[in-house]
Amino acid sequence: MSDFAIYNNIPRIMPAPAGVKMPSAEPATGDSFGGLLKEAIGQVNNLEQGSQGELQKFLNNESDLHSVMIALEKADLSFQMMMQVRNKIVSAYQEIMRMQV
Amino acid sequence: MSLLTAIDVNASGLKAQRQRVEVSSANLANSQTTRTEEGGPYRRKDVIFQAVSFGNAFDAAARGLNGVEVIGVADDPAEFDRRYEPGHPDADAEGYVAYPNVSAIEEMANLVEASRSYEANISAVNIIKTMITRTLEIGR
Repeated sequence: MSDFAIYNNIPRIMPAPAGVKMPSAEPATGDSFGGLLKEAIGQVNNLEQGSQGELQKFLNNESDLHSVMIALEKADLSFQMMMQVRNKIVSAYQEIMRMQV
Repeated sequence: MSLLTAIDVNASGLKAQRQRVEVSSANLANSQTTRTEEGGPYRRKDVIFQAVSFGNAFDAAARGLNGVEVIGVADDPAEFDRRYEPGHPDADAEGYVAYPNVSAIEEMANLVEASRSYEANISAVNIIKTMITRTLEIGR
């Protein structure tokens, strides 16, 4: 699984914003790829929830429009990143399934 | 320093410029106000910007990263505009009325500048977004 060491950097590239609690993301053990993936998906989920919370605050007149847009952009970017990771995983899986034994 | 932190820095710039526009709008709206709660005519307000640290202590590259914040709104100490209007209820013994020290031209220039700064911050956010999107295209 050392080929997937790049995914160790996911939390560093896309950290969860301050003030957003992480209910779903458990700290990864470091070795387990599944744990890392779970953590990364949890952070994407947190950004999505953060954008929803920001939108709710805007509708209650507690936030600015630009905060909503920026939260939405962050959620969008982290989601795109997750999709790229998913594409890599699926293509690696298909590569293995095509392997002749 | 992650790219998303840079977006937060620009977000602080957007907020600061929006507050500046609000203060300028209030100045324009009150450019003829001769009565205030503190007494006397309306005094022109100005925003004070301060740099605030954005980096966290564990991220060496982001430590010097500063966003901007409006820490206060100050009164403009300039003289009031005195006009001779003896019939005005707020005229003094000599018949002069003190009008606010607001110059419409100055406020319009302020508004245009704030609006341009706002646009610049939005452009920076879009550039960062494009950079991240391009980065995700590595290996595609």
